[in-house]
Amino acid sequence: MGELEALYIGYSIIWLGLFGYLVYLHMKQVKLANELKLLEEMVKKE
Amino acid sequence: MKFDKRLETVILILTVFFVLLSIYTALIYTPEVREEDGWSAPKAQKIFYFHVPAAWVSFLAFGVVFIMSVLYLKNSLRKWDTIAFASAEIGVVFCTLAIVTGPIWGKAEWGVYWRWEDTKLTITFVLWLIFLAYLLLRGGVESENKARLAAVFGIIGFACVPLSFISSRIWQSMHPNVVATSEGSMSSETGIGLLVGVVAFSFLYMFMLRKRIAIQEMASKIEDLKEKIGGI
Amino acid sequence: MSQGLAIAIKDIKTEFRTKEMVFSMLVFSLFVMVAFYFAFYFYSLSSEALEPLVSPILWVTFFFAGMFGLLTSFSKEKDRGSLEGLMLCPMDRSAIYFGKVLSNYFLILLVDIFALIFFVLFFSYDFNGNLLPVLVVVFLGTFCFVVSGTLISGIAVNAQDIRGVLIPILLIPIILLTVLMPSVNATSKALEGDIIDAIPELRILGVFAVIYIAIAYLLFDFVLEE
Repeated sequence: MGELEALYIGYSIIWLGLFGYLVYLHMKQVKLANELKLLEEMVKKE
Repeated sequence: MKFDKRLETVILILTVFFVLLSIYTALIYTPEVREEDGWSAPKAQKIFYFHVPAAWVSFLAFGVVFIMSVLYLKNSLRKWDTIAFASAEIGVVFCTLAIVTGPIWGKAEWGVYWRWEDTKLTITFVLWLIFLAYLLLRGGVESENKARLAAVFGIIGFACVPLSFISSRIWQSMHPNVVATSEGSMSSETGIGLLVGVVAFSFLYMFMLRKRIAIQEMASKIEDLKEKIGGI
Repeated sequence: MSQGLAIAIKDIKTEFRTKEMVFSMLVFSLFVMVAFYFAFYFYSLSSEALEPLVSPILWVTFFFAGMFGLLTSFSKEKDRGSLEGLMLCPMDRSAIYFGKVLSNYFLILLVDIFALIFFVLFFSYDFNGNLLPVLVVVFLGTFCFVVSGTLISGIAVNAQDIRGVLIPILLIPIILLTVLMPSVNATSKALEGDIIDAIPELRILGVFAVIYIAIAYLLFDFVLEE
């Protein structure tokens, strides 16, 4: 493994990892927000 | 509510700003280290500017877990437990990144992936294992006192690692202390690059923590509502 | 303290009425030894080649057999619901912990000694008069293991389904640097004949035994509370 390759791999792991985690968090948040909205409407109807 | 929204915007802007700045300082501002100073892989050394901050932020996150666990055991407010859980998860993410990028840099710099005789590496690895176990504990326990158990384990786990570090330092018997080549030859530019990286990752940590806490709060709200509907 | 002793005696008595746990632990440690013996069979180790392997083999056996013992230390009572009864008793919760520590220590030490005998038999190993220092290390290392393991076992017993997996998962990272490494190092040094060399490791073990006891004394109430 060359030096520059190591650098590229290291950088991509760090930033893809962090970005991937952020995307995961965001998707989870959106999903839960939708679920919460639905439930709240159901509670209001009753 | 309004203040919360504004704080979030401020943190987001600062995070983006410092992350961009840290990439700039790491790649362009900081000079390449020289082979005369004992670096065998000067180009790969640029991983250092994110590898070390990731490790530091993971220690910060685990420290927060420890403090929040103590607070939770003191007055059992749910919010301390939520913060502890969120911080543990984010800490594991940062620690994983540090542990994965370490060997990549290590292979280029030292020729080996890992040095077990280096206390820093060993301690980081053990902390990573402990907090993986912490997350598994939280996933596995369904009973009412899950938060309390997790808090106790968080305290044991975080307490025993620094202590074993200190004990190995004092008695010098468990690990010979090999200082990685990173120390000693740190120029001021390198220091600034490192500092910017740490600040950027700290803001990123704060941003993620707030998001993770918001998710956790939503999830418990959903649980409550479901119970309410089921109750009717 | 006397309450703890009472719990320990009760535990050991019930254990020896059925003997199922101590018996399966003994068989298990025998199997681990057999596994080690056949794993190294190909090399038909001479006594010099065996030397660096002695303390790792011993401690791996001790730890796995011990973990096996910790598995049931709370779960029996949890499943029968008698842990609640024990908690209703007008006594300090930490007495339950100290009682369990004593009974576990007794059982695991017993298994350790049998494992040592199995080791000597299988590998026809000669301690050359270093048995006493090795035993000192075994007693202290096992104590440190039991002190931390009982605390973890109290935590893990609450996970109904994955209890069996959770004890090793929680315990191994905790004891890696604090119990496992000092014990193995100290045993290796004791095998070389000089227990004085092993004092730093023994000190680490002692310090961590005190730390785990202190943590358990402070926090065990929270572990049992429902």
